[in-house]
Amino acid sequence: MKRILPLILSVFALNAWGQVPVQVQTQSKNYDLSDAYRITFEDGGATQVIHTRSQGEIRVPMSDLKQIHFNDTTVSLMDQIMNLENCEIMKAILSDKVPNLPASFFWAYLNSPSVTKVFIPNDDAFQMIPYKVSAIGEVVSVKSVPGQTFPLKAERYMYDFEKGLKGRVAINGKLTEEEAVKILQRLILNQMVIENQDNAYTVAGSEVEKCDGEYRGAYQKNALNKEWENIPMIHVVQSLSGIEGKTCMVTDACAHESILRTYEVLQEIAPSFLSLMKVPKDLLVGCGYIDNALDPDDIEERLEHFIFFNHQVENLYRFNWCSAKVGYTIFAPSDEAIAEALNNGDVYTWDKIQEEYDAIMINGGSEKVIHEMISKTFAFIKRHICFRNALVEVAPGENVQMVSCNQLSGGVPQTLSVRRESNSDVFEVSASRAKSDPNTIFYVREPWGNIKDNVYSSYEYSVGVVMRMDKAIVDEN
Amino acid sequence: MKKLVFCIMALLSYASAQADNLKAFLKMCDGTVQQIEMASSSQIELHPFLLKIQAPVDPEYDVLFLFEDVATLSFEAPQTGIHAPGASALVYHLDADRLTIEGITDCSSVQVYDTSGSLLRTERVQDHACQLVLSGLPKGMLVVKVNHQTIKILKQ
Repeated sequence: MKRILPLILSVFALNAWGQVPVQVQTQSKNYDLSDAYRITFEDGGATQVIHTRSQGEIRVPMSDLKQIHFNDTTVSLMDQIMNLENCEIMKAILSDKVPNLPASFFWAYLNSPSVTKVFIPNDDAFQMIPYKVSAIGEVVSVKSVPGQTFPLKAERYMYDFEKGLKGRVAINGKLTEEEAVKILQRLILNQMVIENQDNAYTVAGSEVEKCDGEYRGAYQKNALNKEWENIPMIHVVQSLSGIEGKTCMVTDACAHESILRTYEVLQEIAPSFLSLMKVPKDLLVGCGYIDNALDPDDIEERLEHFIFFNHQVENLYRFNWCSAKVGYTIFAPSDEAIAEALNNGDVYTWDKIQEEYDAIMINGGSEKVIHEMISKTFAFIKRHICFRNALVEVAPGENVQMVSCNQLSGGVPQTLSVRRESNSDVFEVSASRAKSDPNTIFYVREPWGNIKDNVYSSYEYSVGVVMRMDKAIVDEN
Repeated sequence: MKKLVFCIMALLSYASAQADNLKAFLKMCDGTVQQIEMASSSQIELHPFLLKIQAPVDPEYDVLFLFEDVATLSFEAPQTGIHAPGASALVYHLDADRLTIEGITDCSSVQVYDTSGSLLRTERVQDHACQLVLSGLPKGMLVVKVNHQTIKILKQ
């Protein structure tokens, strides 16, 4: 209640506020009645009489009246957000009150015509930000600490994702301001949604779908696939309308990105293609594809351009994508498609190339043949990796030219024609008319630079999409 | 400041006119919708700070809204624009000294405060509704807090 009184008093103190703009909107006409002072009714309520100082009484039949606007008819979303209760964290972030997390970073996205929906997670939602996701994982809990220089407090808690139980604070669970800022920046980006006809995606490239009155981000969908039914789904608590069709929705949970990484998805949907992407460094150096006369450091540097995955720890591999700022799409051929391509001599397995190289070593012959096999194999792989995120950037029913990746191992990029069906997530690619299986489309995210494995600890992540294709993409160069 | 508040309150007194079976829907700037039932003797007054809906039965009571809080007024349920799916429109019906509030979803009780911030009364919510008898309460502005929102009643 102590908050109500100052609010009331402060509003009454706004003497300069003066006359209220009033606009009366009827079926056929709009009246600007800023000097209206009273509304009464006649004919048992069938007619509305608007009393004005300058125009006298204006009678509007109720059947003709649409609505009366007060204040500005285009109340800004930001104004509305700032009036929300239980949204102190979002208010602090969007009003530039969190050091090193400039609100201006989000404005370009908020004002983008493509962004039509923005989730405003309430303070409860910030208690459960996924952090390390496994059967026993962790969540980050962010609390508002008004009055502090850094007005937020972030801690990691143990969390059982299967049972939905939040446990104790994790060891060394208090996050630094820098860590909190990185998590929040990425998180907020994932609350800004671009909508197509049937689908919606966050500006960071994660899918958001509406299902049974609740929203599900990529993270929630993955959790459901793993039968973790206690993961909080996204419910809309309140909805605010702004100009240009934009909507802000106060939600009780956060939309999250996919937690999957490229390697994991390929392992599941296209293991043969993944095998091709596991490039044997020793072979490249041994056969002279990379000049083995170079200094070891130079060899390592060159190899970076030919390696698709960097092994990190245990089963963790990082897809060697070039930038956090450019999304990517991998049109991964199915195992059957790879078998056919191998059969046609469009690509070689690394075992086959090694075998040929060993034969040359024993029997003699030119290593040039081996180099050509390697180049052909690299070209094949790269044709299936493209710049841009097809799910975000190719609208249903549209045909978009995408360029295959030329960053890894050099070579000539190929322009691919990518068409998305109007009523499904089936993509048809290139002259080969390779088609995606809509059930095998996954968002993935990948750190770049020297970032550790935790997907929520940095915004320096590439966002990509991986989908399985029924055919390999042919060389059109 | 209090004097200023009560001076403004004292100015808010106008004759009534009939308007039967009217429902006023106020879309608030915070995204909620509030529905005021205006069965009879109703008029709406527009003041620099306030939108005042005169109580349908007992002219001693008015429902006040700060203009700053109100986006639009209409007399049929809004079809588009601001809406609150989780908390459908709060419905206020002021019949004599009895204020009935329906559509309460987010709280278990309704509180009534005066402008000094003192809690005057708490009523439990049952079946998403609550009934407040205002007769025992002091004159002046009463602030009713419900569903994280407030409605202001002027008792004259």
